[in-house]
This record gives sequence, structure tokens and C-alpha cells, in this order.
Amino acid sequence: MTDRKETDARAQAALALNGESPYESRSVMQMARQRFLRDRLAVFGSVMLLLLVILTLGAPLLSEYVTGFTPEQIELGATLKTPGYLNERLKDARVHVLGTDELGRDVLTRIIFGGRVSLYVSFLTVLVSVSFGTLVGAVAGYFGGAWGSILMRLVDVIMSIPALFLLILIASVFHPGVTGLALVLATLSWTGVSRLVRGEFLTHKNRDYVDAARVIGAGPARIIFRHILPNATSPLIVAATLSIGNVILTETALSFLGMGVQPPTPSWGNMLTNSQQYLYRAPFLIIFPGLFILITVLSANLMGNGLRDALDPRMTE
Amino acid sequence: MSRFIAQRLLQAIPVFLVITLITFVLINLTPGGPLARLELDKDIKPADIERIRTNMGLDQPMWKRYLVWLGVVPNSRGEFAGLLEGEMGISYIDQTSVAENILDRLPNTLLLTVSSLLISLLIAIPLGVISAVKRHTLLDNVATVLSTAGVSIPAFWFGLMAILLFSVKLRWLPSGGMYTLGQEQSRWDLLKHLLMPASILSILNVAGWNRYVRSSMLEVLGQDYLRTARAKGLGERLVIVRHALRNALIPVATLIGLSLPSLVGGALVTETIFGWPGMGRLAYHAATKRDYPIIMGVLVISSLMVLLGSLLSDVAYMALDPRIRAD
Repeated sequence: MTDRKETDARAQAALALNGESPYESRSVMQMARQRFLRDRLAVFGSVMLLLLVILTLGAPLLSEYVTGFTPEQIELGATLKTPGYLNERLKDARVHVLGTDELGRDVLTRIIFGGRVSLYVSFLTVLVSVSFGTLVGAVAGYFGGAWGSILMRLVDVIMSIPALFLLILIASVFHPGVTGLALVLATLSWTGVSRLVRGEFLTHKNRDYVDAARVIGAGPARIIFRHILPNATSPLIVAATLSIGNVILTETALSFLGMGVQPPTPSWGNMLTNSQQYLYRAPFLIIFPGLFILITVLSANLMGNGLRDALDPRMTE
Repeated sequence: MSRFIAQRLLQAIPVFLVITLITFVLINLTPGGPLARLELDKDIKPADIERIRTNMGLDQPMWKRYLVWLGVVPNSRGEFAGLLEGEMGISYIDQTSVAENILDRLPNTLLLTVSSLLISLLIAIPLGVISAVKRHTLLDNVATVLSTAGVSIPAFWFGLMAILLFSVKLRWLPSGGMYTLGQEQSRWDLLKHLLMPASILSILNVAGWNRYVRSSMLEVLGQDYLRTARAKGLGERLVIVRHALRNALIPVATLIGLSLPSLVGGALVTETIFGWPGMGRLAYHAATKRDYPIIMGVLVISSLMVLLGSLLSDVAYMALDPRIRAD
């Protein structure tokens, strides 16, 4: 207690003498970061996600040095083998850590490469949809009026379209590749972001700092990008992180139905398509890819939840 | 209120038309069409193919074909036979009426989705309320963790795992279909087949709703009128049930409303895995076989349900919360 009083007195003296405050000030971002790091689940999720990203980025390296198989390598003499199988008849034999599928391909290697595809699609989709959605939302929110209403009507129309059906239709008509699939998914998911951003802009549009910026002559583009947008990024980041999980789930569901990533390119979803018939004989073919989907989405969601709790200044829990 | 409904209905019509237009254009962009197979057959004369083409009205420009399909312009035989007349065409694959196919499957899907909706409500509301009332206890923490895990599970994998456990390993429940083949279709049999897919769907729903109910309840619990009720001497249980719960349920009504639209299409993956003969599976099989009339029919019906569902949910929200009616 005496410490505190002493420090206080010194601080006041310092303040009076040279206008400096010896108290460390922390910015909002730093406080948020500390709150985030205190949340163990959020940290766990972020680390997990980072690990998965690194793992999948290094897929070719891993396949060459760690597992010893490529995802397309077919071994017809060793199909549907349970995890831990070693083909002793080959001279360079390596262990199939997670077993082999119906064509004798190594499951672990396919999972790693499949993760690459799934993560690529989801990150690209989120990037595109967030960028586009922010643009639309900012314009609709800042300018308002007729254009704003028209844009929001468009958003409503797109949101009324039953997404899964339309995705199936588009996929069966156009057979998009991996990048094409990401763009299609982005086209159907930017609407949520634009609503969010528009709401934020409506709130900030009438604040004093915007008036101040206008008074000193800032044009609309400058106000939008340099002034309002930085304040709207927190909910954006949270929404983006949480949508990574959703996109992964949608992409894997589509690939599972055969409408997403096409074989032989492995994706966690299409690894499950053919494995359905082996439910009795080789259940591990279904368990592992799905487990990886679960872990990835869970990590992204934990990270997103943590970000939301850390950045929201009104959380009292 | 009726003005509001009329307004919304009027707004919904252009939306519906846009959706049908997009679908029509998309489908007609595909290479090949109903005549593709005929064109490959060498025994059929080109003149005959042209005649069939004219008869089917396929030589008209796309905008005209759209209007014919819609039912506002008569087709090549001079009849009005489009959507507005309830005519949805026939399947490319087996020439059965699209409308018949859909009407056959729609009740099955509704059975599945409505029962899972009911189960979800029965679990999520009590769970959310108790989680809110007993904040930060073991029950609350476990429920929160399970909810986060629940929204991260891929639905199709979850279904497959359930089949693996309950049908393959434990042999308690059948693994697919609506009734057991060869047996009389009893209610009990239906129930056994319904249990797994409906439970899978509802568990995934509960995971999402549980947190929503909880946070809505938490918001209400902090209100002053509850303090008044307690000061009046009301028992805690009455306070919660009679005062807090009613107000906390308003956002839940929005939630239910938001899930009305997916009553038709939301079970697609589950239906496919469990072999449940519903609209979702119909659409999926039609897509794999490029049976476009059926795909269009399903899209039309599900868009209608989406729009109806949004309208119903808005109306319900307005009915429940008198503060909104003032608008």
C-alpha cells in the first residue's frame, strides 16, 4: 500500500514538472492481445491451426522425407490395409501410418495433401468474400440512399437463394477446378460480411471524427479507407476467422457429394466419398479424414471465439 | 400487420423471379440438353430432330423459353403450360412428372426436418436456460465446450460415425432408408429409421442454438424487472419461468424462423447418407445425372420455402414483441 502511495506521489510530481506520465499506457490492441493470450482454448486453437497450415504447406516435403509416399501412388497389392501396415515384400518398404485406401494409396499422405487443398480453398474464399463484402458494405453504408438500398436488396436476394442447391447446380454444370470452387463459394458467402460492414459504417458515419475529416477536406474514398474502416476491422476479423471453419465444412460437404474437388486431387471430403462402401471392412478410412476436418474447424472456431472475446470491449463475463 | 404482410409478399415476388431466372439461365448454359442423346444416334434423321426441337419449343430464343417455362407465354402448341400453371415439366431420365416426384418426397423431408427441429428445441431451450441460470458451473462449461465442438463437426462425417457405432458395431438401429424392405410399414419401424438421422440433425442444431439461448437468457437475467419480481416475493423458479423465459424466447423465435427456410433443403447431406427418400436426395441424384427439370423444380420449391419462411419468421417476431409493431 505504501508503495502505491509513493508511486502515486512521484507520478504526480513527474506530471507536474515535465508533463510526462510514468504510467505505462496500453493501447486497445495490446489489452486485447493480453486477453486473448489468457484464454487457453483460444491459444490452443490458434497454435493447432498454425501447425496444420505449416503441415499442409510442407506437404511435398513431408511426402518425400517423412511418409515416403505420394498421394497418387497406387499399390494394388496392398489395398485397404489397417494403420501400421508394412509391405514386407518390397525392398524399400515404408510403414503406412494410417493405412491404405481402396487403391493402396497411403492415407496419411493423402490427408496431408487433402488438407492443403481444403485450407487453400477456405483461405482464398474467405479472402475474396471478405474483400468484396467489405467493399459493398462500405459503399452501401457510407453513401446510403438509393444506392445503399439497391445494394442491400441485392444482398437479400442472394441470401434467399438456397446455397447448397445452387452450389450443386453450378458445380455440376461448370466443373470448377480448385480455384474456381473457391470463387464460387466466395460469391455465395460475401453477403454476411457486407451486412456486417454496412452496419458498422452506419454507426460510424455520424461520429465526430468523420465530420472533422470532412471539414479538413477529405474525400469519401479517404474517409472510408483511412478513417472508418480501421475502426470496423475488429468485428471483421472475428467474422472472417469464424467463417474459415464454415467454408471448410461447406467445401468438404460438396467434395463428399462429388461436386467439389474432383478426384484424383485429394480433399478431405472426397476421400470420404468412396470410403462409404467400406464402412464395414475399413472404418479407419472414414474416421481419419473426418477427424482432421473436425480438428481444423474446431481450431479455427476456438481461435475465432477467442478473438471475439478479446476484442469485444463490452464482455463482462 | 396485414399491410406488412402484403408489402413483404410484393417484395418477395421479384426476388423469386430473379432466382428462377438465374436457375434457368444456368441450366441452359450447359452443353448438351434433352436432345443431345438423340443427336448422337445415327439412325435418327436430322430433320426429325429439328421437328422434335420445334415441338419442344427449343428453337426459341432463351428469353422466350424462360417466359414459356414460367407460364406467361404459350408454348409451341399454344398452351399455357408453365410454372404459374403448376406445370414443372418431366424428368429427362425417366419421364415422370417433376411435380409428382417432388410431391412424393416433400413429406418425407418435412417429417425428418420438423422432428429434428422439435427435438432441437426440446433440448436447446432447457439446456441454454440452465446454462445461463447456473453460469460458470460445470454444466455450463461442459455445455459450452460441447457446443463449440458441435458446430465444428462435419455433418456427413458425424452421420457416418453414428452409423458405424449404432448400426455396425452395436446393431441397435437400421443404417438407412425409411422402412425395412419386405416388411409391413409400421409406425415403430419408421421411428427406428427416423431416430438416427433426426438426432444427428438436431445435435448439430442444438450446438449452435444452445449458446444463443444462453446469451439471450443472460441478457434478460440482468434486467431490472426481474429484481422487482423477486422483491415482490416470487419464488426463483416462477421468476425465471414466468418473466425471464418469455422475454428470452423472442430471439429464439427469430432463430426458429431462420431455420424454417432450411426445412426443405437443409437435410440434403443427411438424407444422402441415410438413404432417406427426401427432396435433398432427389436433388442430389438429379444433379449427378444432369436431370435438369428436376433440379429446377427442387430449386423453385426450396426458394419458395425460403421466402415463405422468412416472411413467417418476421411475422412471428412482430407478433411476439409488441415493441416492434409500432414501426
